[in-house]
Parts: sequence; C-alpha cells; structure tokens
Amino acid sequence: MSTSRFFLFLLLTSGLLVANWQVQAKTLKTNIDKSSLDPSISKQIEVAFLVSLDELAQKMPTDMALYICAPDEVGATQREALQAFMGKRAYFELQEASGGVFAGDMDRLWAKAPQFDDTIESPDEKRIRIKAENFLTQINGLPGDQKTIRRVSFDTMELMDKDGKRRSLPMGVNVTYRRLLEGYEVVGPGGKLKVFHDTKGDVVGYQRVWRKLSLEKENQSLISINQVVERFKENPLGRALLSDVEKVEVKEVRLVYLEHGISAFQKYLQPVYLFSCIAHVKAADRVVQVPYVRYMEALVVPPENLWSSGRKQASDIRPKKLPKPGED
Amino acid sequence: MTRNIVLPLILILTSFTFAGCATKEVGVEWINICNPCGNADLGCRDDVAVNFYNILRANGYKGLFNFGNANAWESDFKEPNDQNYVDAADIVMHADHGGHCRFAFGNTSHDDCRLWASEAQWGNQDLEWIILDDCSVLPRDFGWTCWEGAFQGLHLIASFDTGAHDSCSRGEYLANKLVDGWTVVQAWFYACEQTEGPSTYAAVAGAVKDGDNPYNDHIWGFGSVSSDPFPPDYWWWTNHNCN
Repeated sequence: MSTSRFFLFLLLTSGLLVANWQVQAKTLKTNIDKSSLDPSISKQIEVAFLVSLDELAQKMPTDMALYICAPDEVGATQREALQAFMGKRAYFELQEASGGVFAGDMDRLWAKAPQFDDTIESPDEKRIRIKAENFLTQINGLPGDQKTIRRVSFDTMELMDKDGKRRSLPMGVNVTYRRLLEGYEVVGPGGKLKVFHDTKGDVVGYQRVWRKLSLEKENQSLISINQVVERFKENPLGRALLSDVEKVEVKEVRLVYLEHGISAFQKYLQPVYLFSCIAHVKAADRVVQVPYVRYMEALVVPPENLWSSGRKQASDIRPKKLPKPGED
Repeated sequence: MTRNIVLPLILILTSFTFAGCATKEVGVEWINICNPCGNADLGCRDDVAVNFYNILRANGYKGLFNFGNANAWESDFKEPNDQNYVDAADIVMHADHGGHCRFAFGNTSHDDCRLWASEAQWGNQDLEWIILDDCSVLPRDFGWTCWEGAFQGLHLIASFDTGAHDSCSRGEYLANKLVDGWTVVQAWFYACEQTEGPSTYAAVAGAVKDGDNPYNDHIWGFGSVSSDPFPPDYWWWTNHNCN
C-alpha cells in the first residue's frame, strides 16, 4: 500500500509504538467488574404485565382480514423526481421483490460526524415535518387518501474525551409514515415511507417499502389474547437477541400487520400480536432496562411462516489445540 | 559491501512482512445453539454471519475463521488468543445474544459464556472493525463507554443500542453495501433499516485520534480508511432509529 521507505519507517517505529500502547492500555478504565456476576443465568424469566389483560380480552377482535401482497409499482416511477431533488449522483436502489426503493445523497446521509467541540442546534420538529411533506409532494410520494400514522425520531451522538468530559449532540432526524389498515398499523422492516434528514434538516435520504395490497379473505379467526399471553410467558424473548434477562415488563399489546424488508418476497400480509416490552438485564451492580418488541402469531391458521428460517450453514472445524500467538 | 547487501535485504524482508499485512481478512463467529450458556436457541445466527463472510470472501477478503456453535469461543476475542483470531482479521462479526457491556457464546469451557467489555483489547494487532449482531451491546446515555478500553487501535464497533431480532438477512445486507463502497456506518444503519422495526435503534461507537475520525471508514479495498486511533483523544457513539 505504500513505498518501501514507508515500510522501513514503520518497522523501526512499530516496536516503540507497541511498547507504548501496552503501557497506555493499562491506564484505561473499565466499568464492569465481571467477577461480581454469575455467568450462569436463570432460565426462568419473570413476566409482568403493565396492561390489564381483562381489558385487552374485552377489546381485542376475534378475527381480522388477510391481505395478498404484490410488488409496489409507485417507487420505480419516483426515480427521476428523486434524482432531480437529490442530484444525478444520488444513490437509487429498486428491489423487485417488494418494489421498494431506497435513495440517498451518500455524501450527506449518515456521512457527517461532528467534532468534539462542535455546536449543533436541535432541529425543529415542525420544520422537519413540513420539509418531509414538501419533499414527498415533489416526488409524488405522499400516501394520498390512504390512512397513515406519522412519527418523527431523532438520532443522536454522544462523545466522551479522555478526561471523562461528556457531550450529547443531535444527528439526523427521521420522519416515518406507517399505513393503517382498518385502524391497524402496518409495522416491521417494511410498510414504511421514510424520509431521512441531516442535522440542518435537509432531506438526504428516502425509503419506500409499501407493497401493493389486495384483500384475500375477511374474518380470519384470531388466536385469543389469553392463549397468546400464555405462549408469551413460555418464551417472552422469542427472536430477540437479549441475554441475561431476569424480568420482562409488557407495556403494551396490540394487533398490527407485519410487512417484511425491501428484498424479501412476501405473499401474505397477516396480522400479528405486537408485545412492546422492557427487558430487565443483569449488570454488575444494577439491573438495566432494554426496550424490545416481540411479534407473536395471531391467526389460528397462518397462511405462511411469519419469518424465514434460513439455511443450515456449516462451521469450520477448529484445531483441538489453540495455536500460540504468532503461529497460524 | 556489507551495507550494500544488508540494506536491500531489510527492505525486501519488510516488504514481504507488510505485503502480508496488506491481505484483507474476515472472521465470523456465530451461535445458534445458545442454551449451554443459558440463552434460548436461535435459527438465523449462522445465516447472518456466514453470508456476511462469504460475500466478503467473494470480494477479495481472505476468510480467516468461520466458527459456529460450540466452535465459537470466547477466548478468541481476548488476549492472548485474539492475536490468532479476532485481532488477526481486519473485520469480524459475532452473532448471538448480547446485553449491556457483554455478548454471549454457546461454549462454557473456552473460556466462558460471556465476553465482557473489560476483557476486550482490539486493534493492537490488526482488527479495525467489529460487528456485534447482538442486542444492546452499545446502550445509550453513555452506557457504551464500558467499551472504551477495547479501542487499542480498533476503529469502530457496530451493534445495537436497544433490543434487536434474529434476522436471517442482516449480514447479507451489510456485506453487499460494504463492497458497494458504502462506509461501515452507512452500511450498518441501512442493514438495520431493512431488518428491524419498532423500538430498534442501531448504534456505532468509534475512537478519534488527532482529528482523524473513522466515522467515514470504508472497509479495505472499497474506499478510504482512517489511521488507527490510538491512544484515542475521544470516543463517540451514535445511534439510528430503524423504525
């Protein structure tokens, strides 16, 4: 990657640097004393409901509609308008499986890191909403007469210097539109129109995964909330990648539709129960709370699996004995 | 006369040494059979890691290790053994369960079930980027600062601020964007966008030395890479809402 002179310089200085690194590494602080934690954990997770199951049982329907999905046709038509807005060099991706699109000015989307002492004003939410709406109008991308719910979320940056001085700065802002089907929200990696803004509030990215839907069957029977709650208690984490959970608090249970990501083939849009939870995770000297959601099957007769199960992959066989450092 | 022979010899030897270092390496460890360490088994950890591994290998990276289930060892991630495994690669992915300041394994005897932040010292040999496809390894409100000692030349840790799910396709999304020339931060946030929904925030932490910031690092061979940020002047963490 460089000249021989550079290599020689590196060789001469590397010995000194390694020695220096080892000394400095010992001075860095660590916040966790792992010896105070038993690595074996309880497999029994306590579950507490912060919602009334009786009320849920009364208000939940006994059936919901099932929809057929087809690739969206609108995203592809937005290409020229997106390039007119973001510039001809802007990235544009169209995925045939969903008809979804992702576009971005990659010199600005998730591409600017502030310096430690920079000052960044928090973006004004009202202004961001107007900018997102203007952008969607320009690319003919407003949801139109479809019922939607709109949310604004803020990304952040936290910084800490070697003296322990801390700062928090605003980063990008996201405006997400989710559609409502008979009042039920479509959630998941898909089913969203999303506009990404930079710290100045400018639109720098766009995603649309909005499959075309047609009604397949009405009145599909649902598993009762009581049955679902029992299943949840048996396995409150499901596919969540959380370890060392002692307790789960369920803040909300609602029925939603689940739409998959931009490159996934999806035939049916089916209802699911969405459990919004807080996991209590053991740490050295305290319990920390981690938000997560658990999707639970809702249809008595599901038309297809909720999730892809993947393919069985093989591991390398490793040597019985570890090589010593430096030997392969 | 002796000088005329020795000096070129040194140059030739050093060229070989650094030519070896210029090889781009990837390693992955994944655990579907998690119950030996007290966590529920999962179905897609192998897909996430192995697809990531194979895409990088198809794009010029040498595959150093692909260890799954009981072959995935915590000791590969810490001194001194990481010098032959995790810290011998440029980019590494781990896929299992995680939590604040730790991630999990499925083998109880090499050495144990959790790699804690206090045990990580990465980048003092080679490692630039590590992807921890595990929940909540980099929590907000400065919970991520437990990893500061891991930055011994390491550039970035990409993981999650919150809970996340066992998606089969995240590794593929990530690797495809990395070899398309996206930065590690961009590729990770994009992969999260395509695989997660309500309540999930992706997160990346990095270190900065002399104003050289790995925030815009690409992987080797696909764009610019900052110099090793050690000892760091400061650390940063950023998150992105994937809903």
